[in-house]
Amino acid sequence: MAEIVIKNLRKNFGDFTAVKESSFTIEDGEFFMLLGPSGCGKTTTLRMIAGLELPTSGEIYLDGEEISQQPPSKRDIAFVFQMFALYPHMNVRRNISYPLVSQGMPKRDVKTKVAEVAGILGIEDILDRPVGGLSGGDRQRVALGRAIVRDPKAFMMDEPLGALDAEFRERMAEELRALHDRMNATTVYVTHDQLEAMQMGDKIVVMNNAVVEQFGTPQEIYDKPATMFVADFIGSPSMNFLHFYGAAHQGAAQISMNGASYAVPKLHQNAKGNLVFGVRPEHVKLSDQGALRAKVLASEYLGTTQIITLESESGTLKARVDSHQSVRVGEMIGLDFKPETITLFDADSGNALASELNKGVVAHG
Amino acid sequence: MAEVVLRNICKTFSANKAINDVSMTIPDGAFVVLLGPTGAGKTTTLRLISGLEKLSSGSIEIGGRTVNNETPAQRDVAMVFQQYSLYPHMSVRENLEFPLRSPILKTPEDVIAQQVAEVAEILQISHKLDNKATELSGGEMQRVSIGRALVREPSIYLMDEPLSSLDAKLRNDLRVELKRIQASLGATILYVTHDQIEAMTMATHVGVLHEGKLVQFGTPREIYEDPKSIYVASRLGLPRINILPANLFDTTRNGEHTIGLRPENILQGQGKPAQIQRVEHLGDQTRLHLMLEGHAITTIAAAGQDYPAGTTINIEPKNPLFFKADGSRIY
Repeated sequence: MAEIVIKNLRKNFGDFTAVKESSFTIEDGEFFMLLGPSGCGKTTTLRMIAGLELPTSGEIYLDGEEISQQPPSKRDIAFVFQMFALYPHMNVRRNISYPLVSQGMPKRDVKTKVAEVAGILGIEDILDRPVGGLSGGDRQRVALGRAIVRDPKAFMMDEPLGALDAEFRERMAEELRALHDRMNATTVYVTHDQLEAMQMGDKIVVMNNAVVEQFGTPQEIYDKPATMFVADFIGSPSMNFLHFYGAAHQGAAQISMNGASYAVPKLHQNAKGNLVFGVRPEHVKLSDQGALRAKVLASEYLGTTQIITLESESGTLKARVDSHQSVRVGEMIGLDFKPETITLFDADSGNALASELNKGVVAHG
Repeated sequence: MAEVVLRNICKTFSANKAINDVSMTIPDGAFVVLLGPTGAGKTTTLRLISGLEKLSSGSIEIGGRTVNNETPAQRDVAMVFQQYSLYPHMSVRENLEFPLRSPILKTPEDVIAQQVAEVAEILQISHKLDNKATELSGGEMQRVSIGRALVREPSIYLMDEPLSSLDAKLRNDLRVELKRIQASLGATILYVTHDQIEAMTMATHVGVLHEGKLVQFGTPREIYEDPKSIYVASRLGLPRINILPANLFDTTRNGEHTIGLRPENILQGQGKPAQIQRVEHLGDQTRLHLMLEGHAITTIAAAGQDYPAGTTINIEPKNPLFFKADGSRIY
């Protein structure tokens, strides 16, 4: 299996820059997510790794070898598309064995290999069925089988679950992850669904407008967002942003916002001007003593928890609280924040201010 | 807006019973979500109400009037489809005006202008009214197609997975927006989806469909806390409910075959040892995938605790739901 290193990768389509100077490392055996909204450059990045697009500049190393200008067939990478294409006139066995047969592998070896892959995917009993009558899940498994059977160095997956029904997608996501844990193959997976990325990924690259915004483990990206874009894109509901005009002082562990003082992680830089106080919904506590007063606008029931929408003088925000806590629409309540979780941002650049919380993740400003 | 009543409706396609004896009341001003996987009969139900399909038996009343033999136009319903279908050669404004220009309605020009302006305001697309439909992003196009339904004041809005083709992020925003629009207009909506989050957060009532039958109807809280069967219990809740043999934890009294255990209803530190297979960090919540005597169990990690994969923790059920062998709920 393989380590993939991306260095200053760039792709222009005419005047349009699809990917701008991206750099990150995918370690051997990682399940690696490329996450971002439509048009952010994630699929183009994946296609460059697979060799379906040639980069305008930059390098791609597969196990130390620079491959960015090699044709796809030389790269030993398998690609699983969103719309899995199977040969309709062949049965399951022939669909899976096709890549091996076309490589000229001896028949006996093909048979052993297909049996092994069928075992991994749990599809031994449908090997002789035509692909026409298969369920969506089985079709997906066969498509995966065809990718796995070649023993490639790495797998590229372009929203392979995108077209499926919610419930089935959850099941396949778990199955894919379990499959990965058994095979430990380096996998690069493109998605626009932050939950899917958090759930399945060892590492995540968040992209926006052709740029890598942040790169790290799911928990790190969630807890220590480097930019407002990342803070907003990851998490549902996303991070609350309270806008204020003020100053942050290096070494201070509090901030003054609209006349009240709030504890924050110790700041590692100074900043002045339009600032943003970022707090995740689950770190907003309803408390009578809370410094910030807010009016309850709505509540959304989610089973274990509920999402409360609140209107304060510093802006609208959402709190995630236990669903048994009773809250009346229209009532005024106080809000407290969990100080060690707060991220402050510079509203103009969108970048997080360096603090004790995000040291090592965010460069000093 | 109007109350819609379905009485024992059935729809058969050759030998296949797509809808099997469904009765349901959609109260005036309610946001009813029909939830179920592909093939459960959700879309067929919508098409029967709109008149795009004919009933095999039963009857449908809209605002107290039986509409079985009425055409779709006579029924006065507005439908929003999964795939936005706008007229590409028209501007956003012309697209929104189109339903009001129907010859049956004879809407005066000033009313058309006012309605379009109002709806554009609600959907926050006022600044795009003079753009061509093809110049919009996917989210904007879907807002325009919802807007095209909203410019009219039909008896009921029928929506068939209107958000499912959108990006996850945009879907979240539009969900909140749609709920707000419904509440402010007092609109009656029947909304079809396979997405449980949409059902939980938007619905005043959820109808759970299974193979053409309505298996439970109630508020999201009733469906979540008091499901009538394993099938219903498995529809709501993320991560999904754990379904386990009743004797796994010595909780059996008499006749119970299976227990349903919500991931948040598992106590840690006592009971039986389970092996930690995988830890999922989702930010606001950490999920543990456990294995106990060959049964996969998902639970939620306690805050601030470390769970190395491969180690074991002791777990015990709290308030499990009990089911019979046929999947129906006992208590």
